Amino acid sequence: MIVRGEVTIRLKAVGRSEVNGLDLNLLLHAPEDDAGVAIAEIRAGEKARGLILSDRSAVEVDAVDDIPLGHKIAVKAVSRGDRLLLYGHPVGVATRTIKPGEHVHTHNVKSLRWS
Amino acid sequence: MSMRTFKGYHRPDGTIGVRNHVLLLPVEGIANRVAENVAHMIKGTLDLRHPYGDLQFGQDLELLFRILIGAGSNPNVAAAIVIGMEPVWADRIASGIAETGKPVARFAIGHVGDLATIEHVARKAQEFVYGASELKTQDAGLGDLVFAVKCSESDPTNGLAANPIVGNVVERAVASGATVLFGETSELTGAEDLVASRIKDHAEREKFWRLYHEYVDFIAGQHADLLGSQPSQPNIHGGLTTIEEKAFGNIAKIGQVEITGVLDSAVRPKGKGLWFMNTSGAAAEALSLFAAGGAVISVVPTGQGNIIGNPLMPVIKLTANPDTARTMPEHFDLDVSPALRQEISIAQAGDQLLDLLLRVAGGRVTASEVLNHNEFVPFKLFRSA
Repeated sequence: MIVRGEVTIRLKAVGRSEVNGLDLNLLLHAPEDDAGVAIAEIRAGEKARGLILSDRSAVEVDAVDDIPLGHKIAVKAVSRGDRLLLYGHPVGVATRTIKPGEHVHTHNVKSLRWS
Repeated sequence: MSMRTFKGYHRPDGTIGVRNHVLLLPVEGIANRVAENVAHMIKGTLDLRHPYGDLQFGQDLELLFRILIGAGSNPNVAAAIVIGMEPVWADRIASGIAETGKPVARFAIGHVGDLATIEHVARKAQEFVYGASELKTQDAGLGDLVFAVKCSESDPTNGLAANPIVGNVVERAVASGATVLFGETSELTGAEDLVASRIKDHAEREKFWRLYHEYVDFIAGQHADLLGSQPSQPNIHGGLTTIEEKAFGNIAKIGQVEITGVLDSAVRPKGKGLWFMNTSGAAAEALSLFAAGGAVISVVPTGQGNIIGNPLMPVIKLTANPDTARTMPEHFDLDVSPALRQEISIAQAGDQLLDLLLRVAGGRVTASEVLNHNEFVPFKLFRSA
């Protein structure tokens, strides 16, 4: 499930921020992006709550895989052969179909340029 | 925030240094031992050991000369002693450094031997250290600084926070008249059009494309699988998946600044502003080239935690990755993970970094200096004869 809308960010305690009253654990660069980056470890089954940096809107997705800090989670479905958008730009091509909530990395995305 | 000024060393060629080294500069790897021994004996000297200088030729040799002359000419160097096996190459390097107007001497080991050369170099080094110690720092401003920006061991926290924070500082520094160098030619792949579009001068843009294509064509010509090299294993471990993703994070560190011009490796910029220099992405090589191009400080945003330093200049390292900041804090001068968590803005973290940059320019030592990280690596173009 993806929820979009205005967000309120507030510092809850040292080391934790929240979006709409819930812990923030995901950042996206642009609304076009297919995936976001975990800023804290996200466990399978947990809800990823993300902030889109360019327009300060919110995104939510249920994590299917464990996502380590710094790694990406899909917020949209990406078909095999489709380009993956990050920073609002294509940064690779999906080598397998990716469902929302899945870990996005070298096992399902490769460079469009070097391989 | 403090005033945007610092006390620096005003060199005879008009450049401003932030450190005051007496440099012991070997021409060839086999001259390292003399430099190393004198550095142990004479306080205030810095030996710039490296493994090259033997049977290099053509463009590769010209680049080595530029790197060694550039190292001796760096504004952080008060005086230099060139040590070679024979006088011809040593003279060429010493003459290049002497154009800056700073004291330079050169010694040849051939037909003299290490022991006598060590004595000659040590006596000259002692004299140069006395002279360097008499130099007084004088007022300088942010606009007098020449610094380099280079991201390293990147992960997605670079593109989200650490690099935009550096970009914020680059915007403000260039607006104040500073000179900033960046490079990492092949690592721009995926965002190279964006970089080229920032170069307003047509001839400079053409030069960028020539250097970029030369570099990526060389890489393509090796017919190797680059995954694991670009992105690197630490990049992949940290969550970067493709070179394009890495490139978009990479270029966030130059902010929205227009690029003044394009430099070949180890060439000094011809004016102020933001300059692209043709470098590899390897941190030690890139920083050594920036130092040879006159950078007096480097700012290195890192995700997975590169521990890099450089003997010629302080290296300011920052990370936005909270795990990296927690597990290896001795390597970082600034923990910007609060910006990743949206607790502070990019501009607020930029204030902290700009303040630190000026403090380091004024003498505050960096983690790289305290931990003696002195990775000087001359960039080599091809195999020796």
